[in-house]
Amino acid sequence: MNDTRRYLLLVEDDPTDEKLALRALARSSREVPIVIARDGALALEHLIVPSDAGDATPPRLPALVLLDLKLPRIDGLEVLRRIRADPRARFVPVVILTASREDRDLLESYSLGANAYVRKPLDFDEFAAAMGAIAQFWLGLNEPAPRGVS
Amino acid sequence: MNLASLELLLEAVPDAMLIVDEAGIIVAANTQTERLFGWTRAELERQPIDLLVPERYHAQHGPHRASYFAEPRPRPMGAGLDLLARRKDGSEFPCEVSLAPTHVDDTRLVTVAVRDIAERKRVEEKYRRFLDAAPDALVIVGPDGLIVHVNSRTEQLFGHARENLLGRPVEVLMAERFRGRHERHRVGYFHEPVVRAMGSGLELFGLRADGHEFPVEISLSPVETAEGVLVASAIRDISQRKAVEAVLHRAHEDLGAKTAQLEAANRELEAFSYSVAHDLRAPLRGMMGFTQILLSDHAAELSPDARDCLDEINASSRKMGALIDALLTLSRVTRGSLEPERVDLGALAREVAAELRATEPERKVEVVIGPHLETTLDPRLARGLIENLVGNAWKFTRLVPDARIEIGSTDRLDEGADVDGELAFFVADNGAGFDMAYVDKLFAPFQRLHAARDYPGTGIGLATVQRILSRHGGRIWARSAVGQGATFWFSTPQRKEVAS
Repeated sequence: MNDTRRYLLLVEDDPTDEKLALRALARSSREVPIVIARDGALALEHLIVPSDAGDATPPRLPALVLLDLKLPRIDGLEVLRRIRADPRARFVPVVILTASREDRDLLESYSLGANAYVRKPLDFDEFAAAMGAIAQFWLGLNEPAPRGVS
Repeated sequence: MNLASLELLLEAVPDAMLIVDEAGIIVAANTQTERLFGWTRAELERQPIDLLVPERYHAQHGPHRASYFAEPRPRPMGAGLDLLARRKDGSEFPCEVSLAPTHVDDTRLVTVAVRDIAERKRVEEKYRRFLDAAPDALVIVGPDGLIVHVNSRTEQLFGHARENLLGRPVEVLMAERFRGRHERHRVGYFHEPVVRAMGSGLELFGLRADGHEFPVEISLSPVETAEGVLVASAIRDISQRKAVEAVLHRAHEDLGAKTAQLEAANRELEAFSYSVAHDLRAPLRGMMGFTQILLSDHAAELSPDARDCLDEINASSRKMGALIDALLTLSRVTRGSLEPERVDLGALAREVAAELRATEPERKVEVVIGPHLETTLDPRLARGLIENLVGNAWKFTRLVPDARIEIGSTDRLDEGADVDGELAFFVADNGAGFDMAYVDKLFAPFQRLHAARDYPGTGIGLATVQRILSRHGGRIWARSAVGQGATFWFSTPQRKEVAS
C-alpha cells in the first residue's frame, strides 16, 4: 500500500488542541495527511458505513484514529466501542489522546480495545515529540490488517 | 361431755385453749394458756374473756360474741382481720383464734383456741418488705391464675390497690387483646414451669387501672410453696427505655441521612474540583504550547525583551501546570478506591531515593533506611506517601553540606511514637526545618512555610500525605526547629479493614 494513501483521523473538539496537534504533527519529518472530526458522531460517520448505504464505494479507513475522550454528542469511549463492533472498521488502530489520567478511563479504554493511551503533555516540545513518535510508528512501522477482512 | 373430761382434753392440745360461756366468762383454760398469757389458771377462771383482749377492742368484741352464740358453728374468728391478744403484763401479740361451740351439762359454751402467730407474722413481714424493695412489680399467681400476692411497686405501676388485685385473675393487669392468649400460655407454663422471659421477642403491654397501656418486660419464675407451685412474675415498665430507644433510633437515622448527604456533597465537591483542575489544563496547554512555538519557530523575529517576556509566561504556565497536577493528585488520592496490602516502606524509600539521585546526581545525600518498615497500605498511595516525604526531605536539605535523610520506625514514646507499643514510622532530615509556631499550617493545601525561591513546590505534598494517611485511618505529626531539620512521624492502623 502506498504511504500517501494512508491518513490519520484526528477526533478533537477543542480548536486550540486541534491547532496544537496539527503543528505538532507538522514538526515530524513525515508528511501526514490528516482528517479532522470535531465530535464523536462525525467521527463515526466517517468510519462506519450505514447498512442502507447501497453499493457506493465506502471511504478508505484511516491508518490511525487519534481519539479524545471528552467529546460532544458521542463521547470517545462510545466511539471506540462502535468502531470495535463494526465489521469493517474494527481493526483500525485507535490511540486515545486525552487530558484524563483517571484509572477508570484508562481501564475502560483498554478493555474496549484501545491500541494505546497517551496523556497530552503540557509542554509543547514533549507533545510534538509524542505526536511525531505516534505518526512514525502507526503510519510508518505498523503493518495494518489486510483490507476486506471481517 | 362433762367439764372435767373436757379440761383433760384441752391439756392434750398444743395451742392455748379456753372454754368460755355465753356471758364471756372463762370457765376453763389449759396450761398452754397460762404460758402464753402469763396468767395462772386460778387467776383466769371466772374472769371475763375480755381480760385477754386489748382494751380498745372491748366495745366491738361484746356484740361479736353475742352474734356468735346466735349462730354457733366452728369457724376462725375475725376472718380477714389481724387479731391481737393481751398478756398479763399488758403486752400484745398477733394471734389466730378458732371457735367451736360445745355443751357441758346443757350449758352452751364455746371452746377458744388461740395461736401466737408473731413469728409467722415476722417472717411474712420480712418477705413482704423484701418484695416491696424490688424495683419491679412482682405479682405472684396460683395455678388457677388468681393473684395471691403483689408488692407495693405493683400498686404504683398499675394504679390498683393491693386489695383490688388479690384473688383476681392476673389478666386484669394486661391489655384486653392479650388476655385470651395469655390464659392459654399460663396453663402451659404451669405444666412446665421454668425461669424465663415472657413472650420473648414480643411487645408486651401492661394495663393500668385508668385504662392506660404501657410497654413491659416480664420474667417468670416458679416458686415452690406448701400450697403447690406459684408463679412469680417480675414486671418492668420499659416506657422510658422504649422512649430513649425511639429517640436514639431517630437520632441514628438522622445521622445516617446527614452522613449520606455529607458524603454526597463531598463526592460532588471532589468531582467538581477534579473537573475544574482537569479543564484548566486545556487552556494552559494552549498558552504554553503557543508560547513555546513563538520561542522556537519565531525566535528570529523576537527582541531579547520579547523573548524574556515569553520565558516568563512559559515559566508561570509551568508552575500553574504543576499546581493543577498536584491538585489532581490530591483529588485522586481522595477519590480512588483503597486496596491495602503489605508494603515495604523501606523498599519504596530506596526506589524514591534512587530516582532523586538520578535527577540531581551532583548532590551528596546520605539516605539511611532502618528495619521494621512493613505495614498495610494501598501500594499506589504508599508510593505517593514516601515520594512526598522523602522528596520533601531531599528538597529541604538542598543547602545543607552533609545532608542526611533517615527512614525508620519506633515503638517508643520518648522517640516519638504517640501510643506506646504502636509502631510509628518516621522520615527525618537535617535540613532547613520549620518554626513549630506554624505546624498547624503544615498539612493544609497551598500552605507554604518557605520562600518558593529557595524551595520551590506546590504546597500540596503534605496535604496529600495527610489525606493518604487519614484515608487509611492513620495520622501524621511533625517536629522541627528552624535550621535543625524536621522529623515527620506517621502511623498506619495495623489491621486489614480500613475505610474506603
